[in-house]
Amino acid sequence: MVKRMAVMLMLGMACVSSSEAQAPEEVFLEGNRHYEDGRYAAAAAAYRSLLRYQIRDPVLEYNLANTEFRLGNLGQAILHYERARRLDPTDRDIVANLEFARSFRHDQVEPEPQMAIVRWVHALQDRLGPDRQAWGVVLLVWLIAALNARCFSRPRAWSATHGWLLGALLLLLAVSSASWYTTLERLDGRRSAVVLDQVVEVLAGPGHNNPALFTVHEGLGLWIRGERDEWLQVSLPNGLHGWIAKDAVGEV
Amino acid sequence: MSGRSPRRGTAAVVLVVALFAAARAQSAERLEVRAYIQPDFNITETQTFRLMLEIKGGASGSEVTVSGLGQLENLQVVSGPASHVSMRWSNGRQSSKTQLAYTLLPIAAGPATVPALTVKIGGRPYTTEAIRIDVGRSTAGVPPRAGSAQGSAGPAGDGADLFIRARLGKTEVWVGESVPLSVLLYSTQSFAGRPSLTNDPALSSFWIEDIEVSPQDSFNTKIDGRVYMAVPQILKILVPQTSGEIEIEPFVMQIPVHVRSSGDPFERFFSFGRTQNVVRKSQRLTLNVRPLPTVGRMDDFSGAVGVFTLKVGLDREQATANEAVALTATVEGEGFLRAVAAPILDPPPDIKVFDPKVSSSFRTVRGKLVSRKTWEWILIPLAPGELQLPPVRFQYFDTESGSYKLANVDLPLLVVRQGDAAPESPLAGGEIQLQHRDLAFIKPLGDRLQERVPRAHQRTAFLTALLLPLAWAPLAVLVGRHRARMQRNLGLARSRKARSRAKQRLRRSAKRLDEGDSAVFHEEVARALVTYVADRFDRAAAGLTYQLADELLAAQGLVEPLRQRFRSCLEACDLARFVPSSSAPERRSEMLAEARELIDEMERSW
Repeated sequence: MVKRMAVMLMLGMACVSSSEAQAPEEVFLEGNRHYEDGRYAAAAAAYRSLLRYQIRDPVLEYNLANTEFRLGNLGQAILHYERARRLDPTDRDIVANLEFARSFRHDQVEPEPQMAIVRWVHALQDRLGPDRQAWGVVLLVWLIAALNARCFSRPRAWSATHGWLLGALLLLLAVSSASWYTTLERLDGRRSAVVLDQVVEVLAGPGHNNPALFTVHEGLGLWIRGERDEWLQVSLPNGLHGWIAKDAVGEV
Repeated sequence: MSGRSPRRGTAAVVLVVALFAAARAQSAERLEVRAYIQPDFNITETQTFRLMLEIKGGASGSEVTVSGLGQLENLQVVSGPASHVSMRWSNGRQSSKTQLAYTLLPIAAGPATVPALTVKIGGRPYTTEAIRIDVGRSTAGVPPRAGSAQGSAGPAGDGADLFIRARLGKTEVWVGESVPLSVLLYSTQSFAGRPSLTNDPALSSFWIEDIEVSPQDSFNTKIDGRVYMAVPQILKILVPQTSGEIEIEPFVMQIPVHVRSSGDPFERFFSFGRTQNVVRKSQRLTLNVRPLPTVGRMDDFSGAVGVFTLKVGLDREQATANEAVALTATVEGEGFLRAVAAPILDPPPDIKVFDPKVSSSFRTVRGKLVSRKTWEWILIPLAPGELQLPPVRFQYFDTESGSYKLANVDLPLLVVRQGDAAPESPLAGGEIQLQHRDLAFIKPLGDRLQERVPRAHQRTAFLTALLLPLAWAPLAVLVGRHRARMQRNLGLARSRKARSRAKQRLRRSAKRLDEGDSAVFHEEVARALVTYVADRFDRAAAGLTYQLADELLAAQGLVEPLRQRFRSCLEACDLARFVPSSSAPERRSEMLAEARELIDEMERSW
């Protein structure tokens, strides 16, 4: 709450024309009104003012991404869609718009081939999201604990049914935990970035004196493998890797 | 021509002049080198002329190198050099003259310059004077010069009486309107070979269709009283894509002709069968292209510009459902149709329409382009009934009236009968198809914006909920052990449950408090008290007399007043059971309260 008050205070100080402090929600609604009226630059300014005060809401990131797309900033649009998806991977609109924006990229990098079952599992994991899976794991732990408590507290209450039930619950717990872990790994485990400049050369080393290995274009997603000073070591899903200037990309 | 032009700049021509040995004596004689053009007047942009380099004096086997031709201004070298050496004996002295001839062609009308050339003879440089020329603008269709009319000399003094002329069908057209461009070669003599185009004027503002020309299309025409044979060389259909004044660069052709000889029979004999290439250049052309007006243009304007007619038709007027029907639309007329969009169909939803098959052709009629383009759609009627297809529309720009016109042709009624064939495609039946993809719209504010929200596993509540079941385990074990002990010692278990069972019985008695049957109530209360003692001492309630119960209580150390109350309570119950009138409702309540209090106090006394 204290943080929220601080945000309101800062927003109020930033709002020169207004004598009243605006709540973040009011600024957000103002951005929405600008967007609906086609004033995309003003909408983007409103949304960005909220980001500056550490508000990280998937809806805010999504609306800002839409606005950047309308302004023709493909790289910024994809960056904010990625951030929105990381915050709420269960939102289908975010995923659909991200795919739509990606279709405008110049670079079409083929992703690593995956079996159909893996794609299906990933889709299911994204539908559930990491938080739901986490609470599902808690629920299973409670069920197992309750079953055990019932059996321990009643002498000679163990039966084959209890055994099968406990085995099934333990198996389900193992699968759910693994799924939850891999979902977290996919979303948060690897640092990624999006190219913001229209054309950027990826160099062989962290410095302009290194030869260019290949060229990437706005909106392309990169994995971050390391960093040094103002340079990031990045790689592509197709195995290409090199060094890119930090200011040419935005980290998701 | 440009492909085989002589070397520019430091173009070097190595000429070895082998003079007679006697001329060696004159080698020390002073050399004269000069440059001049031939002819030196009335040069126009379409004429070639000769640049002559004349070297007077002895040049015994020396190398002659000419440099500076690369700095020609507004001129280009077409061919050369051709060399000619002549020697003369006079008064016992020998003199020689060497001539180098280059054929030059102006690039455009205006000033042109042959710069000062450096001629190195035997390593010694000589410099000529620069020559300035005023290149006149060519008048189209006029033979080069009156002099050539005599048949003695061509415009460049090459003896050939011929010229080429480029011609546009119109000088002012609309954007998209076709205009023919022809290049004709006019000559009074026959050629020694096939003329060839030596440049490729840029026509980037046009859509171009090349039309093949044939020597059979030649014709005779009289110009300035002379009869020329006009031979078409190039025919192109130009379709301007942009508006404005567009200039078309001149065409340059190289024509092989027979060498003309003078009247000297001796020379005529030796020059028989010799040929030479002559170069001719057409005049520059200008085409004024007007933009199409915006007034009257429909959204589905086809892009056709010209004068056209539209014909449409169905291959049948009766069909069964799901049977293919061909709809053909043909646009024909003066103008260019290759890049034109199809006429507009507005098929009803119960007809499936496949993309049309397109064919087009064109021909030239009296210098005008006549085109024909046909679209053939396959229609699949999906349901039986009488189908009135909407008219087929085709909007074009009419160049004659300078306005847009809409060709609208009605289609006949199509009678569709119920057929046996199954529907061909699941697309039929009005399936909704995505016409345009776009972003999903922005989202409204839900409840409130979230600040940086940690994942579920990063929250305290999650960890608490996850670890809480661990605390159940020892609790469950304790409960289980307790229960096991209870099961092993039934007497103890019964004793511990004595109070709760007694209270349970008393609750049942309380329910009968208001019932009229006092005996049952008191019997229940008495049983509760006796059962309590039986449970406490693990005895059978059936054989437990009041006396025995009192003894048990005494043995347990219960104080006499409490035992007295216990006995009084039991006796009162017995009395009430056998003399129901002795117990009023108020008395029953007191009895129940007394029994509860007794059990509580006995419980505390153990």
